[in-house]
Order: sequence, then structure tokens, then C-alpha cells
Amino acid sequence: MIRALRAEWTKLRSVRSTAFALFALVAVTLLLTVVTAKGSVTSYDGPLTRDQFTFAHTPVTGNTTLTTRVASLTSKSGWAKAGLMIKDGTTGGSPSASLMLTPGHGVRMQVNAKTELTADTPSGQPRWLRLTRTGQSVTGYESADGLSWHKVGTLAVPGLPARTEAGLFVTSPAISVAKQVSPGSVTAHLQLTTGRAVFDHTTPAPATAWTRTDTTSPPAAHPLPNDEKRPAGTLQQTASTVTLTGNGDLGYIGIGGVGDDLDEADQVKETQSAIQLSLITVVALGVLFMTSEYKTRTIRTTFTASPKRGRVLAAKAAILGATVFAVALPTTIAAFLIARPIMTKNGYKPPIFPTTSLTDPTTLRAVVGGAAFLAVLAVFCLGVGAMFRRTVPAIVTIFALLIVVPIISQITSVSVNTWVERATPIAGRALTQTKTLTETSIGPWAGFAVLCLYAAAALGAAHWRLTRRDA
Amino acid sequence: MPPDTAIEVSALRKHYGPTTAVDGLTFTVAPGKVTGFVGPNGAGKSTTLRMILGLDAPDSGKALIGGRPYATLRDPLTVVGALLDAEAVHPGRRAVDHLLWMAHYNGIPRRRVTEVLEQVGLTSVAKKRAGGFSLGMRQRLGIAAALLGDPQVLILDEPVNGLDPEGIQWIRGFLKSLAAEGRTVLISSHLMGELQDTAEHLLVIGRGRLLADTDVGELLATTSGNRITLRTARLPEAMTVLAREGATVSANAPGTLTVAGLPGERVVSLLTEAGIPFSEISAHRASLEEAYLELTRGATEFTADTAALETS
Repeated sequence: MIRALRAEWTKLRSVRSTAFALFALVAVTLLLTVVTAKGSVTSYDGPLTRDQFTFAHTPVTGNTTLTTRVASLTSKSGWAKAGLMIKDGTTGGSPSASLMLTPGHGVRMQVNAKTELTADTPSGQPRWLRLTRTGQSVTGYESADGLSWHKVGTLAVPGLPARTEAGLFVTSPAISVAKQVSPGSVTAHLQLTTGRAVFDHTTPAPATAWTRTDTTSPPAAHPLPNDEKRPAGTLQQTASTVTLTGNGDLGYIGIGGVGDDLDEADQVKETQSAIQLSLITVVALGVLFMTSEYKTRTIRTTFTASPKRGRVLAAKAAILGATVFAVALPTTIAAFLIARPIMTKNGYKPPIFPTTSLTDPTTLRAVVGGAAFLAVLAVFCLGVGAMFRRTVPAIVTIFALLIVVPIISQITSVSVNTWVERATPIAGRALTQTKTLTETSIGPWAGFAVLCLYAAAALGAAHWRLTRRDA
Repeated sequence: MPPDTAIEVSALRKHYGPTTAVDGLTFTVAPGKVTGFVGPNGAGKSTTLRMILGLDAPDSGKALIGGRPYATLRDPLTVVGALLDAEAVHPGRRAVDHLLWMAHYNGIPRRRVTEVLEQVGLTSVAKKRAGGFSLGMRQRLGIAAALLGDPQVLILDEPVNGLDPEGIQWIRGFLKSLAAEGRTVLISSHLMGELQDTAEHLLVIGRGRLLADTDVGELLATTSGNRITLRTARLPEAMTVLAREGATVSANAPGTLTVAGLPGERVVSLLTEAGIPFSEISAHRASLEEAYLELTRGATEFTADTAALETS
């Protein structure tokens, strides 16, 4: 097999079309990457802070310890929040410290909507919470049973006066309901949700009764569309329980789940988007590596040198795949490194968009995945070339499958397009995804597996034809 | 002469659609001499060679090299060197690389590439791309490829094609010397004349069937084209004497006789014994070409289909 690999490598490297195709792969990829990155601009001019909740409060002066049990918290949003708060008054934007339970993201602690701590213990409902103020700092604890307590952490609260309002709060952010209206476009609208929390075992209890305030964020230049439509919260109190309903959100972009719905882009996949066009160079290389042997009739020389035709095919596939990968990997890495600064300049940056780095395993998988996609695609094309034995039918078939079918499906319907993205070799490009978006058709590894199946099937069919037909 | 280098073909049969390309061929190619494989275009020569080399699968029958099918040979290029189609070279590949990949497939050292290029006189263009080669240069490159593994068996399809007269001289001498070293050399041609001075043994085929498997000398001796002309004043007597001995005698012109079926010496002694004066005796030896034409006369009416297949 080593001999076959050396022989096929000699063949591949010794014709100029190989160097040309690989050069074109690098050049087209990088050029398209720059063009795509420059053409993609995003901006967000809405408020960064959210300070909206329904507050059941009572005045407290100086150091204090608040304890409660969140008996239940229900909301359509996983980022609903219910818990304890100490705040300078009840106006949005004033200094505050809070400790809260969320349905989907555990127990969290916030100060001034700028600092966040997350409890590293498992959480569920009901949950006991305790918030202690000592001077200018607060400490949070949480517990499953009110007996054994875990410390969440201690945070400084700059600007918190001695005289505060303290008590219970609930809030629940609007959720983004995205819908793919056509293969190329996704629309999203925000749907208000209401959080309903039941508290008991609350200490200290107010002398008479809790006061309810619906706190609103300070006025913003570009308020969020749903801010004006917030319905009023409710407060019901019995001897032992307090039930609050409310909506809104508490936090800052990137803190407390705020702004998660704004990050509707897969930045890493965008840096790899050029390969969907530069793949044509790989198609040409893969097809020609096989069909040129038939065109020049060197296939007979090949099979006299190596009568084991399956071994010839395996060597070709291995050499081609390895060569394409070796050239494509530096290219996809370069594409990522070139596109990142351009995209950052165009608005893809914190706090809404996270910083991406190759040291992050998911990002690295996506960038290496771009090269792997091209390598396996080349092998698929080799197999198709061996089936047809002629360049033009092979290339036409592959282009139909990789380019024409997706273009047609994009103008037909969402379901057809989704099916195409799942069931044609282009599914392999899913390996460059780093997140699941509304328009995502298939998971990264599942998509790559589809491409690998295509490659294996093409090689299998090619082998069948090679060994059963005269050369 | 090692016996394991003979080519044995037995009851080989191959058809393409309704056309039978090879129809029950059986022959053996012995080592130590140049064997010519000759037949008109479309006779099935190339198909037979491809089956010997394991490229085409026969419908039935066997083709063995040293008792083994080609496909089972380990490092086949070191056992059999073949030139099927000089044009079958990637035009963008340099001569040296064309030979190098072949060498790699069979573990042949790189220096053999340099050696065979030297042997066929292509050293100066080793680094040139084959697309710029003339047919003659490609033919030499193909021969270099056949020699690469220093094989005991050489199978060359129309090796003379495209070579200049100097090249033809060279390859004839070269093939003879290879055979003299004890190698098995099988060369095909559709022109008998090309083989006349090279082949010692001939396999003649037509329409997929073997027409003759013979030494060149034998073939010539048995050909009806051998005849003697002489002049004599006593025509009737001479005709009687010679006809009595079994010759075919005809008088074509006044005083001239054409005698067929008797060797020249016998004609001379018979006439001398009978006391018949004669002059201007000349022997006309049939050429290989004539012998071949006589053999293939019935076999050249191949259909257009077979011709197309042969050249494809």
C-alpha cells in the first residue's frame, strides 16, 4: 500500500493542474472570505442594561439578612428570575444586589446588573435563598432544604446607601420566536412572557405588608419594542406566602441571559462560508485525478503496474484526501484569522457577540471541519469520476448535486431546502457550524456523516465498476 | 531458458456485444526469440494482449504468464514489460515522472528510471512534459516503461509505429538482443513487412482465430509464391520433364517458363539430366508479405464494428 501511495502521490504532484487547482482553492477561499466579511455588517443601538421587574419591598436600613424559599417559579422563559433584592429605592438603574433562581440557568447573583456570579451547585425548585448585606458588600447563599447552605459568593455593591428597599422580585424576559419564512430568511418576533413566583419562609417579613413596585429601566434613546407594552405585575400575600407575577429582565448584555436573542449569527461559520464556492476547485481536482487517467488512457498502464484495482482506488482516495486537507487546513485557518478582525470592525463584537478564538474547541472543530469537508468532498468526487470515467458527466452531476439543487431548493420551500441540506453532500458543511440557529438543518457531526456516507458509497460503486469492467 | 517466462494462451474467447473479437485462440510464446503477432486491423491482436495483461476479462479460456494469470503477479512490471499504447501518457507529466510513478508501484529503484531513459535515448528530454513529444519519442518512452522492471517478458503492441527509419533499425536490433538474452518477446503488427527482419516466429491471426503458428522460414517455404522463371528454346520438352516431377509449369511468353512447386536446384538438375539447354534462370522468393496475404485472404473481411473496437 505504501508503494501505491507513493505512486499516486507522484502522479498527483507531477501534473500542473494539481498545483493550479490547489492554488485556486487558496486564492478563491481567501478572496471570498474578505469579500463576505466586508459585506456583513451588524449594529445594535438598543439599551445595554435591563432593570425591569416586579418588586415586593419594604424599607431596610444598614446591614441585613434576607431569607426566602422560592416554592415555585413558572415562566415560558428559561431566563425568568425570582429571588431576593436589596436596592437603592425602586427606580430602574439605581444600585442593587440580587440573588435569584432561574428555571433554566440555576441560581445566580447580580450586582448593579454589571457583575454576575453563578452557583456551581445543582439547583431545582423549591430553592432556599439567603442574601446578607455587610457594609458595601453582599454575600449570597442557596440551599435545597434550608438547613445546609452553599455560598454563592460575595460581591461588592458600589453606591449602595444605608437606607435601601429590600424584598422579593420576579421578572421574566420576552422570548424571541423565530420562524424560517423562506429558505433564505428567518423572521423573529418577541413574545412577552410572565413569570409567576411563589415565596414562603420569608424573613424578615415587613411590619404591615409588602409594597409592590413595577420597576422600569431608565429611559433609553432606542428603547426595546416591548418595553412600553409591559403589563403591570401583581402581588398577592397571605400569612405565609407571597405570590408575585412580573415581566421584564434584569442584567446586562451578556449577563443574566440578556441579549442572547440578539446573537443570531454563527460567526465562525461565517468565516468559513467561502468554501461553499471554492469547493469547485476541489471538485475539479477530485474528478480529474480519476477521469484524466481514462482520458489519457494511462489507466491501463496503472492497472498493469498494479492489477489490484481496489488498492489503486484506495491509494488515490487517501492521497487526494490528505493533499486537499493539507492545503485546505492552513487556508481555513487563514480565512478565520482574516475574517475575524473585519467582522469585529463590522459590529460582530462583545457584548452582543462573543469573541471567538481558535483555542475554543468548538471554534477549532469548525475551522478544521471546513478543511475536512473539502477533503472528504474531493474523495467523493474521485469516486464519482471513477463511476463515470469521463470528466464532463462527472462534473455536471456533482455540480447539479452541490450547486444547482441547493439554488433551486432555496427558491422553493423551507422544507425542501432543509431536506436538501440534510440529504445531499453539502450537509458536510454543517461541520463548520458552532451553534444551532433557526435555519440550521442538521447537526455538525450528523451532516459530516452524511457526506462521509456519500464518499463511501461513491467509492464503493467506483470499486464495483473498476473491478467488473474492462479497463 | 527459464520455462516460467512463456506466455500461454488457451481457448481464449472474448466478444463485445454481438461481435466476437477473439474466438478460441490457443498459442504459446516461447522465450529466447522474437515472436511476431500479426493480423489485419480488427483481427483481435490488441484485445488478446489486453487479456494477457489482465486488463480485459476473457469470456472463457486462459492467458497465463509463466503459468500464472497476470493479475496474480507480484510486482508485475518486474515480470512483464508492456507497451500497449504509446499515446497513453498524461501530456502534462514529465517523462521522468511518468516512469517514476510506475516504478513506485512495483518497488523499482529510482535509478532504473534514469537507466531506461538512457537506454531509449530520452535522457535529454527526461524533464520535458510528454505533451510536447513526437509520436516517435512517445514510442521510446513507452518502450522505456516496458523495460523499467527489467522484465523477462516483453509485450509490445505496434512498437515500430511512428518511429523514424533510424528508430526502426534501433528497435529491431534491440528486440533481437533482448530475445538473445533469453527473454520472451512478443510484438504485434498489422504489417508483416515490419516483422520481416525481426521476428523468428509468427502467430498470424484473422477475425479472432489463429491462422498460423509457424517459424518464418517454414512459412516462406510453403508459400505458393515461390517460383522460378527460365528461358529455353525447347519448351514442350522442358514442360514435360518438370511436370512429371510434380511442378506446376506454365509458359507465359515465347521461350519463357514459370515453374512453381520445385526448388531451384531440382529444376536445374532435372533439365541438365534431360539435356535441355536453358538460360536466364531466376528464382523468385515469396516475401513474408505475400505469404501473409495468402494466409489472411479469407480473414480480412472484418466488419466495421470490429475495426472500431480494435482501435478504441
